[in-house]
Amino acid sequence: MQDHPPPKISLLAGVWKILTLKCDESTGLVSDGFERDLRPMERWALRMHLISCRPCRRMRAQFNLLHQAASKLAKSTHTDTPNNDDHPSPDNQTP
Amino acid sequence: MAKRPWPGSPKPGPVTQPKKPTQNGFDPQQLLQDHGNALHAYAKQRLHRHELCEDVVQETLLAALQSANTFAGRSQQRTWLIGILRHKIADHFRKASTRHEKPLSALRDGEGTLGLYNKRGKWHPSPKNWGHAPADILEQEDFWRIYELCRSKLPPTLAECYVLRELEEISPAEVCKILDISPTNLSVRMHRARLLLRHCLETNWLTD
Repeated sequence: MQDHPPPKISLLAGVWKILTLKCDESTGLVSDGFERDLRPMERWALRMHLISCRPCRRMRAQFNLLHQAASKLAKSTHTDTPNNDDHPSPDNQTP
Repeated sequence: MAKRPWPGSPKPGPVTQPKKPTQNGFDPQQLLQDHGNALHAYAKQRLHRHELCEDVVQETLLAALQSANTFAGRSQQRTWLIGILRHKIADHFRKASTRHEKPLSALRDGEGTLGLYNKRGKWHPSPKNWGHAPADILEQEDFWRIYELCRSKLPPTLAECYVLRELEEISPAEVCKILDISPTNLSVRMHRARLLLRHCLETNWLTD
């Protein structure tokens, strides 16, 4: 992660973002949250938007569910049979 | 042959050894029999295309036989093989990504929002409430069936990102390297993949 820092945002742009974040950008940020740490401005913008937007709160919950589903699947298949998540992989990412 | 050796007679030669081929103690046939299905199932969940999975599994077994002496017995054979398979899958995406590279703009333009938002960036068909607690949903067989279906329908550019990130759990920086894309491109692709999956699940699963 260190070699790809998130894009820098100026203060003004940050405040503007907090005030005007739209739904498509908001789910973009939710999605980015799985890839990297959000910048404080982004976190605030997202938080403010989610307070007032129920569809986006649903989206976030559903993205979370997808993420859980994927990691459950990953865990189960790293050992042997699918749908068997009781055995987390003893072998991690390293080759 | 079954005679008791004389005291002081030469030791029985390799003939009496049980037939265990290959110098490293791996029998290809046995390897395939023991792990073939599991490896194939693993590949199937990531690559979806049958013949492609067979290729990758074959490469894996070949690599396993070639490097059998590096298998130190630290992990189980299965785990070791899956480790190799994961590299082969990543290799596959690495090679494939140059073939269908799309410019970023193609992901961003009008179609990039997948028709889920209106012009002002608001949800057009508002996302439905899925109703159940996440833990319950993940127990439902229907959910997993549709999830697999939807995942197999993702366009290849998105599917490769999604598999590497979410199923192989490789770090974003590493995925960018493997696919030779920028972090922004990865972020856009992941966002699209999630939106598409979510949308597909909602339309197919809830109305089922």
